[in-house]
Amino acid sequence: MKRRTIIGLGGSALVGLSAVGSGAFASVRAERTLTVETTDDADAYLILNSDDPNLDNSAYATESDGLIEIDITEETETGEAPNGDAVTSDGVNPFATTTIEEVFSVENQGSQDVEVSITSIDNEFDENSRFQMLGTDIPGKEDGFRTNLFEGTGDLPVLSPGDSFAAGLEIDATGDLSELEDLLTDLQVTIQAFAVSEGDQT
Amino acid sequence: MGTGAFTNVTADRQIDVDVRDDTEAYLALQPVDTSGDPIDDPENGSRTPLAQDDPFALINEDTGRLDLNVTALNVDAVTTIPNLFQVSNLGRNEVDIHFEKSFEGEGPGNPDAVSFYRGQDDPETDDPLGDEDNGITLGDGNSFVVDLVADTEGIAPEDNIINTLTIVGVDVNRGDSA
Amino acid sequence: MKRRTLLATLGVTAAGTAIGTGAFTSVEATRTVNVNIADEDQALLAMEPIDDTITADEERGEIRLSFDEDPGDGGNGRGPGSESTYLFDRLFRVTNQGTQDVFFESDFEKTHGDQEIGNVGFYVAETDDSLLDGESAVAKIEPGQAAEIGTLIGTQGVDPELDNSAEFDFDATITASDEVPGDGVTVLDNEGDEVNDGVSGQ
Repeated sequence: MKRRTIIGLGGSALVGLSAVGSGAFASVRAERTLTVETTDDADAYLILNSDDPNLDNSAYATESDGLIEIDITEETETGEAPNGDAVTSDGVNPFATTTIEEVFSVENQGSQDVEVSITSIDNEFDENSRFQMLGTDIPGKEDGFRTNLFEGTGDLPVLSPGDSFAAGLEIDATGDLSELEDLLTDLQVTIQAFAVSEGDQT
Repeated sequence: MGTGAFTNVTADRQIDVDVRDDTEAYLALQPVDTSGDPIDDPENGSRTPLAQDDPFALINEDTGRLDLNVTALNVDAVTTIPNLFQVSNLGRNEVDIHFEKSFEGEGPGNPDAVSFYRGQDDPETDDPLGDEDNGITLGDGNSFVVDLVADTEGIAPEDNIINTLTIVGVDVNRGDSA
Repeated sequence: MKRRTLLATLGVTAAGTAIGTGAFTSVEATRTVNVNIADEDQALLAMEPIDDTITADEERGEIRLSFDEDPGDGGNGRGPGSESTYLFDRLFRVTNQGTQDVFFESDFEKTHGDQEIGNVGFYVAETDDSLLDGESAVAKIEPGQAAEIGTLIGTQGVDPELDNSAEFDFDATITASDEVPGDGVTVLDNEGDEVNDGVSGQ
């Protein structure tokens, strides 16, 4: 068969090429340089900030190898007593419901509006479980507004670039405790942000 | 940033209360006989004088509480009724006990016409059981017997005198730990 | 046709605008949560008996109040009498092991008992004229501080009958929250003294 050589088969030249019908080739492999870097949760496109000084309960969020982790376990240092001693606790109350708001902040450092939610990829919990995550201090919402963050629930936070909200949690430790303790050990929570309104972009 | 974080713990806890009749209450009250000892059938009461239908002191079967009846006093007289009832401290601490008398109804009554004395005291020389300054310190497990003295001078028949006696007990150490 | 598709795809990649500017369509980040359910005396709102003839602790140290002494060996029982107001000072200790000031109050609901009972309430230290019901008063406990809680039992309206006793069970719903109470609610410190720094109504 006839072969014709297309001149300028490279990066920028391809943009201008319009006569597509004439370039017959069986395959092409074009290697390019791509710079991809990860960064800590505190600096990423979706910031998960464990150290936000504006949040009352950031003591329960820590950063480990750049990843945020929530810990309310033995000897968690919670604050400072009037005499300067550290205050520690071993965990949440048994046979009680504990709500802890403002544990870490979530900030959009991208360029589009995103809707933020959480899910359990192992299906360990849902919006009705005894472990819940809540959002407060949400831009565009009134003081004191609080919402369940589980995907598919009513009023998930939408963040424009530069906006943030505070994530907290609620533990219902009434009833049987051993099942709940299993759930709350090494629980994997997936925090999601999906761009909104311009249709499905995936 | 909004109104600030909201940490909230809600815990339901159980409280059991067993309300006892007066013979078994922490501040126990019961009728006594003429020797000053608790009687076996407190619902039948201590002795009943001919002049009235009810015993001086009894435990009301329906309410479980001590009722006192002194309903035939002579006017313009001083009447002493010893061994009216007993007060016992069934708690675990020493308490100071005092009495408060009152009348509730039409008119002021005459609560001062009636005085209560500790059985072993002498009304001639000792003070009656009254306000906090005239109380009795009672150790846990201990008791004292109460006598009544009524002075009806200036009081006419059918006048109102008193209808409520409030017995107050306070732990002797209360207020010390400030 | 295959070739056009291949060119078009290469064209988008080479233009290279999507990756550099921080727009993202979605982010899914899975993170770890560890929450311990502590014993009652080590939890965020730690509670423990002081007077252990009345305050007992059960599974996980859950406190329970029992105004009912039954020797059970044929001896007479003891308990509060009727038509009386009993005060029981310093039955249990509440220690704030959390991160923020909390305001402590309790609601009571009779769950068993045939008759009405005068009143049941909690108070702090010896300030028994201000029951911690959230409407007349609350107790403010700072992190590291402890409050000693007593109980008022009013048995007006109760007729136990001779040789009988009238049993009542109550649920005390204890709430400790960092939400500042409204105007008109007396705020007491952990020792029962009124706090006068204008904390309420902020």
